Amino acid sequence: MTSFLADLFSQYHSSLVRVIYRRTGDRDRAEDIAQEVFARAAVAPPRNPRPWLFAVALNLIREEGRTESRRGRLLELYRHERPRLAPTPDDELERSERAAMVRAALETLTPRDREALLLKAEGFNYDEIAATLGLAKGAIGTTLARARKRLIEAYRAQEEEAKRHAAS
Amino acid sequence: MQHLDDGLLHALVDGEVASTELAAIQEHLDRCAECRSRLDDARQMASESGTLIELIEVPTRSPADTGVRSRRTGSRRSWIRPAMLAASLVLAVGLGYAGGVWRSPPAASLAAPIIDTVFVPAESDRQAAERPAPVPSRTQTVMRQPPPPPAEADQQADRTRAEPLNRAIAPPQAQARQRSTDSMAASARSLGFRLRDSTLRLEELVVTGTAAKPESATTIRARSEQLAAGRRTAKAVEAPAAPAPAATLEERVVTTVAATQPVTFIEAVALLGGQIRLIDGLVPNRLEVIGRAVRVIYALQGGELVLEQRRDADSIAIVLTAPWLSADSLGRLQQKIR
Repeated sequence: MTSFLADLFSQYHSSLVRVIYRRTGDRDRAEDIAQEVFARAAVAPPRNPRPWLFAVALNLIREEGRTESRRGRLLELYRHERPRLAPTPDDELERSERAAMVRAALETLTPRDREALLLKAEGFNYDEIAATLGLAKGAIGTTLARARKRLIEAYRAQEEEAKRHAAS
Repeated sequence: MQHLDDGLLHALVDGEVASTELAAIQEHLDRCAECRSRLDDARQMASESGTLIELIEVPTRSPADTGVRSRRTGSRRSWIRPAMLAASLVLAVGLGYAGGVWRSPPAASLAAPIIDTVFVPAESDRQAAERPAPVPSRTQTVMRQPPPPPAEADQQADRTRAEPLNRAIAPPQAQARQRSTDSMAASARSLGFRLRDSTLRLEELVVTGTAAKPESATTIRARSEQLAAGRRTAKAVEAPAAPAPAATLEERVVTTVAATQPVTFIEAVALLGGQIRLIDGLVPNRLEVIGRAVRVIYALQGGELVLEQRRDADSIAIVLTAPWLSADSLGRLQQKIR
């Protein structure tokens, strides 16, 4: 690995995996995509690495989603009450349940809003988020305002439902 | 009075507003209680959403992980996600059955990664050992524990422990096992699917799994028993006098169009043209075939989840069914189909 790539890797790899994981919920897939991203960076080293790496990663996630739907997957859905959450969980179980609720709440956001939020959580500034997502900088504040509000609303709705199930 | 919009308030909270603009904004905030209140809300939302997102952590691998990730060159992911060793193990037991000779491990080795402790050829079966291996030697390289020379006490203990796993394989008759293996290979070949190929895929599975907890071994064994108990080829083994090999897969499929039939992993993969989809993170309970469709059935707490897949001309049609699950949960599981 060249020195440039090694620096890039040590600086951004775990952050990249984290964002992809939060976006997809799949750890192995996150590592695969991160590896693909760095492989591409090795071939064509980017001038502005951070937004480039994350933009490529997010694009790869989107591309994979499109390929899967082209394969004509069918899904049968039946409406039913939500499965019960475990009663009185210990700390770790509670945390992972809350994480699952956050992931579910994130799913209610549009992909753009969700990505902006995840990049912000990763420490991106507005310029970087704009460059990564291909948005105008002036639109980032509004995007984040909407995304944060939606995430919190969706999460609280899940909390309420979980409490109702626990009580019943 | 023109209030400050949400985007600007959040940009303020995030420190993204240029200092040249701050004076005017501050002047407005001094005069407008509503905007001051909304700024507080924005601050609260930014903090809360950040905290929520931080709850999502990338799961770490356990120390017993193999650390060897088998990747296909040229494709981003393997066609089977080696997410859980337990799933690999159940499927691998199917192949192991075809390979003919297995035994369960000594209890002490349960602490080691499961795959090490299950794939051990029964050293005591000398006939099978002397016979040319029905499965290509590549499977041998997958087994991490070389079969130890069994002491008599060990043999006895091993036979006892091997009982649950091997019940469906039943009377340890090397000839019967050989016939079963030959018929399996013949079935696979008749569909243009070589046993060697499935062995290669199995190796990808087994070297990339993560360790399961020791207590999972019992669950895994119980599930593998269920799989083994449903196999039709078990009958060929249990009737050693029968000279004819078991019906080929095609024959069985044609004659069982209207009813579900249990099926082995190899048969299922062959039926689907060399690929099978599974749900990441879940352990299949059993495999069935109905018509030309394969059903992978998962036993979850609330009921059964059925992943039905059928090979069409150039694609695989997939249906995920669980009437007791919400649409959201089903959608999330759909994301995990690999």
